[in-house]
Amino acid sequence: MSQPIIEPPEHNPNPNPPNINPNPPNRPLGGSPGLLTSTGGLFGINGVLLTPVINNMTGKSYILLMDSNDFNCEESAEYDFPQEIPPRESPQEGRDVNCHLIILKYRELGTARFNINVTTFEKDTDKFTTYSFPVIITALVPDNKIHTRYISISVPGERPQVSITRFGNTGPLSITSLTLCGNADTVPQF
Amino acid sequence: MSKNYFECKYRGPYKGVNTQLPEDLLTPDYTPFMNNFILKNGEIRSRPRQSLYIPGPPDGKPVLFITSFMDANDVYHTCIVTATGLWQLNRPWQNKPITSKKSWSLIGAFTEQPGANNPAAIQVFVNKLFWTNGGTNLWVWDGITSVGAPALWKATTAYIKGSVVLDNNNKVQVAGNSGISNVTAPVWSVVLAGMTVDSGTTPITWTMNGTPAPANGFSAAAVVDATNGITAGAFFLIELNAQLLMLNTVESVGGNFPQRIRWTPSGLPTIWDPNVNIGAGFNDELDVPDSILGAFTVGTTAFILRQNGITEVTSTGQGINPFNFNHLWASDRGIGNIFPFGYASYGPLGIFISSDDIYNVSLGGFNRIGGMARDAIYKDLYAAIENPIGSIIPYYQLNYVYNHYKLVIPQAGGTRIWNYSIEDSSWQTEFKETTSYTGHSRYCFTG
Repeated sequence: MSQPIIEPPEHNPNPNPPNINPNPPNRPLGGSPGLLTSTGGLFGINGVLLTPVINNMTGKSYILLMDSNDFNCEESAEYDFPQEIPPRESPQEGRDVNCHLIILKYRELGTARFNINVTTFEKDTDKFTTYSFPVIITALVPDNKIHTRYISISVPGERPQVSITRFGNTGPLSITSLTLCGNADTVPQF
Repeated sequence: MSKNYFECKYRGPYKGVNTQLPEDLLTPDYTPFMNNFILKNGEIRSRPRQSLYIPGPPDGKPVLFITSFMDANDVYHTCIVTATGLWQLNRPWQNKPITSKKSWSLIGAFTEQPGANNPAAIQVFVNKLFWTNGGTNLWVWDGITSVGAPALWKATTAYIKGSVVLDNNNKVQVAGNSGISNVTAPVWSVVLAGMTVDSGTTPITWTMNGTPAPANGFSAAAVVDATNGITAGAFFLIELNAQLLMLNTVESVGGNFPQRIRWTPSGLPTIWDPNVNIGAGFNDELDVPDSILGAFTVGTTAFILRQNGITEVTSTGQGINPFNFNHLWASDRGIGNIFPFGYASYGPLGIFISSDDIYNVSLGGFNRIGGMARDAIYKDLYAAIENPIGSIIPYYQLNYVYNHYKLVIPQAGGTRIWNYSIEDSSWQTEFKETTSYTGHSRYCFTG
């Protein structure tokens, strides 16, 4: 945003002199322009991101803080990875798979509880089935480093899809990578 | 039956939501669905906690904006506005217990209906805060004009005779003698002229003096016709070339002019009547078929957003006709801005929502940014129950730089939020239950 500019007289159509002088004589830079003092005010040192909101249940308004020092989201959260048709380099339709391991790498930010879910399609029933595997990260004093967790699973079906779900207030979670391991049939089951 | 071993690896950088392809055709860095995670620096992280930080103002009404500005004394003020008036955050607001009355001081009350309850347009100009929200006035506060509202009573504090405080019933109390207040608040008399003894080290007798008179520490700034006493407000407010501009005006005579633009002389943001200063003026965009639904400034150029078009505004340097209005296109159907509060700007970048895609605009031109999430975003826009609100947020705090466009869409049950990472060009979603956003998100000073 440009700073206010007082135009020089030859360009200023205003017959009256402007009543605002950004640098009046004898005014120290950054000092008071006169004897008038401010009404209240803040030092302008501490700041946060704020949003005005209304609670739809109570009808009350309040100011919401977006706290970047705390990643323990108060709402439930979900992240879905794409459906997979192994092998990725040349997907083969119609193969059943059996997933047996998930390798999870995460940054330790604190104690957290969440679920890793694997959803597969079952040809026989024409339905999707979701298998959930709870994970608990215990870190009373988080080291902020990347840890690895090996999670044994047994998930049959077609086109596996991994998702992460957590309830609100169940701890900060930061996933750096996830690997789904399994075996796929070499020929289609139809 | 023989089986082949496989591994499906997912690792960053992640590219956000993709609903333009079936979920079994996505590359591993996309997601068909996500909620309340943030994709940043190659990590999938639960989003920062959002919590009640400051109580709302004592009047309990919706807050139409929150912002900080620096006055001419280099003092910062964090202000909000409601249908009652302008409120300021008090310096000791964090002292426990945090209450609404202790947090906010009423700078002044509106002397007339300020406008509809939509996000107010604000602009800080020459150390003053200007705002307007669809009423017939433009309001200004300089941060210096006295507050009419008295301060809250404090424990163990010396008061002189005649001191005026606000008790916890929101009534005015006047000290009948000098003394020192008690460590705990007395039980205040709720009867007009009733006495309350404050049994501190030196007892004080307080007299109840009714409810505080509505203060009017700020003023209306836009008399557009001084001869006939016509005032104007607007829905949109920008600064360009040291001049303040109101767009889509609402005037005390004639009502709403959705195609009108008014401006002040250079450096004189409280003069709007061309008969007072010929540098002020107005222009009606009658040569285009649509109305103004937004505006933002990019350097020395402004973009006026219409429903079906964009008008580029540049300065001519002339006093009487200071601006050149160039309609980039003027058609009854075209790329424009369809949500009046859904656009946002930050430095050289502006983002707005058209009927076919979301666009960013800068001096380099226009770009579509809806990308692989466009259809999902528009599905949510279709389900909006109130006006969406857009903001560009460069950082949460300096320890968490996350430059993104935040589009909040009020829906049944809460608010759907779409974040567009400007650095990664990815869309990510959040949902905040039982909550409606009433203004733009802003980085504000709290101490």
